[in-house]
Amino acid sequence: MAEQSKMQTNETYKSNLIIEANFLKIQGLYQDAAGKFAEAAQIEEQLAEQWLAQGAGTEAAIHQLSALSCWGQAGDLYRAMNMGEQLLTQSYLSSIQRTDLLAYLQQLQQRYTQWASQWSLQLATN
Amino acid sequence: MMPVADDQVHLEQIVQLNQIDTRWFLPFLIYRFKEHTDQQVIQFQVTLQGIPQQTSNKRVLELHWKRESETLSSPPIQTSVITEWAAYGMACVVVPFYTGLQIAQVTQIGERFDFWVRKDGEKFGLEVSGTLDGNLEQRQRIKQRQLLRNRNQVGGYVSVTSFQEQHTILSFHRIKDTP
Repeated sequence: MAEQSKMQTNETYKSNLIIEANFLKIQGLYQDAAGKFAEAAQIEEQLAEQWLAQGAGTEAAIHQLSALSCWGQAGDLYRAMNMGEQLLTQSYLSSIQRTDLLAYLQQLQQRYTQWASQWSLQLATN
Repeated sequence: MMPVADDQVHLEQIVQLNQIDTRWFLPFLIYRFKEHTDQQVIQFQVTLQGIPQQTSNKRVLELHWKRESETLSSPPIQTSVITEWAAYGMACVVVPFYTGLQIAQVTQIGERFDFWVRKDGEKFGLEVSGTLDGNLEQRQRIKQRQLLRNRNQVGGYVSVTSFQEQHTILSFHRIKDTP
């Protein structure tokens, strides 16, 4: 019971962090937003572990998906993509979650390619 | 002189009924209201569709706020983003007021709706949308379809608001209503 209550408190806190991060992002305060997204990602990872410990894979996957989305929005694309690849190997992922994850990973890879090519171009012109 | 309203709410109080901190949305909501009034009060028509325990489906809602809540003056933010966040703000008012539910969580990627709402152990989805002057009924139908395609197979609520028409539709849908 106490564990459930703690998890609910963490879920509320994480939701508030994501709203605040989005609020900062739309104001162009990207670095501040990244810090909030990273903190939210860590809480999502903890929540996922707690659900896994209870044998609730589908619930855990919801938080793992959110964690990798938060890492992506925090700018840590490598961590997000790596997490996504690992998650794809899990049997508890539902077919809808798998489809969503594949689509999201594709978006992350496109963003990473775009960033990496721009970065290479900048290095070449310096 | 405004007509007599069916219901009255104070924004700063009503948003505290939600589980998550929904005060972030108020400046955007008030910014859209201020395009229609120079006072701290506005009336909206609220259409309720399929909301449990609501006998009347048309309400005139009077919304009050404090001058110090008007913190957004000329924001360097896209118009569509302001409208979206203002619509979130409106949902954070009408959902607790007309359903008694609390907005409990933001959703994750691919969940097909924006928030989880909760009361007495029951959980539903909430999809929110706002427009300045679009066709509200059409938008409500689009959002209903989106909500009911959710991966959790839960029913839920749709809240759509037209700030030009000063009109909100709040509707409830079960999975069996899937068009």
